[in-house]
Amino acid sequence: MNGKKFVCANLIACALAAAFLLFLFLYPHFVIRRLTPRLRQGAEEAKTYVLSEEWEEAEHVFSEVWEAFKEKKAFLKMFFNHEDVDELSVAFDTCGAMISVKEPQARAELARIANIVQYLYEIEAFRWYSLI
Amino acid sequence: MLVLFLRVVLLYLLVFVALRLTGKRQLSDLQPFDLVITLLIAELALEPATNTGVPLFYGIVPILTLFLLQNLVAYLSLKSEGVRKIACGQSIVLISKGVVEEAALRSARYTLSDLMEQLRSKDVFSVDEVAYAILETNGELSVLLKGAKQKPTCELLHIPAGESTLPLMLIQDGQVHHGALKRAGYNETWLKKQLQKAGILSERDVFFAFLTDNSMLHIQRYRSRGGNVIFFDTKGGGKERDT
Repeated sequence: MNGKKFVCANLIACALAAAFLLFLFLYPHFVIRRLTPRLRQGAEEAKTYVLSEEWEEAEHVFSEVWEAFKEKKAFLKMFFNHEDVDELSVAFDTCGAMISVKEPQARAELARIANIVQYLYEIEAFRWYSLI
Repeated sequence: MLVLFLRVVLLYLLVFVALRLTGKRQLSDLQPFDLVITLLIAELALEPATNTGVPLFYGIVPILTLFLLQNLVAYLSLKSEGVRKIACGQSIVLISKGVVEEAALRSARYTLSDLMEQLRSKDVFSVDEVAYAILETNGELSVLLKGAKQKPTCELLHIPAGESTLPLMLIQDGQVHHGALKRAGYNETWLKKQLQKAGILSERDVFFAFLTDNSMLHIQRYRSRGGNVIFFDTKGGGKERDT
C-alpha cells in the first residue's frame, strides 16, 4: 500500500471508529434510559399491590414489567455484563413464582429488580465517580 | 460505554506518563506512545476473548479508543514540535566532545555500565574512541567516533564506489518475480539465458536467485536438485560453490 492510500485508509478507519464509538455512547444509553423508569415504576407499583395483598393487580402489573424486560433482554446482554443481566432475569423468575403463590416476600425480589435496573442505568450514565 | 471510553483515556495517559517518566532504558525500538498501545491492546482483547460473560463491546470500545488516541498523538506529533517533544521525548547527548555527560546520564537513568554495554554493542570498546554518543528517542544509542577512529570511506580513499542499488530477488521458491525483473531492467528471456549459462534448465529448480548491485547473480538450487550455490557474474563468467 503506498503512502497516500495508507493515509486515506487510516482516515477512513478513524472516521468509522469515531462514528461507531459515538453510536455506542448514545444508543445503549438511550435505550436503558427509556427502559429504566418503565421497569422501576412497574416494580414499585407491583410492590405496593403486594404490600396491600392485592395479588391479582400485582400479578397484572408484574407481568407487564416482565414482558418489557424479556423484550429487551437480548439488547441488555449485548451491551451489559451478562452476569448482571442473568441476575436480573433470575430475580424476575423468582418474583413471578412468588407472586403466583401469593408470597409476601415477593416485595424483596421486586426491590432487588429495581436495584439491579438502577445499577445497569448507572453504568451507562456518566458520573464522575464512575471514572475511578 | 462513555465511562468505559473515558476510563481508557485516563488509563492511556497514566501508562503513557509512567513510561515517559521511567526513562529511555525501558524502551526498545518503539516510541513511548507506540509502546503504550502494545502493552494495553493485548490485555484489553484478552478479557472479552476468554470470558464469555463479558460483552464483546467491552473489548471493542477500549481498543477503538486506543486506536483513535494513537492516531491523534501521531498526527499531533507530526504537526507540532512541542507535542513531539512531549510524546517522543528528545535525544540526549550522553558523550559530547569525548566527555561523558554525568547530568545527561542521570536524566536518562543511564548508568556508566549501561553506556559501556551500548557502546560495546556498537563495536566500541573504549570511551576515548567516541566523540559523540546520543541516546535517541527510541532508546537506541547513536555513536560518532573520533576522526582517527572512523572507518575510511571510498571517498576518503579516492576509490570509485559501485552504484548503490538494492539487491533484487528474481526467483523465489521456483517462481519468477516479474516486478523485480522489470525493475532490474531485464526480461524473462534474459533470465532464462542466465540460468542456461549456469547450467539450470528451469526456474522451477531454483530455490532462490537474486541480483546484487554489482551484477552478480546469486543462485541456490533446491536441495532435491543438487542444492548448490552459484555466484554468477551476468556480465562475465560464473563460479560455483558446493554446499
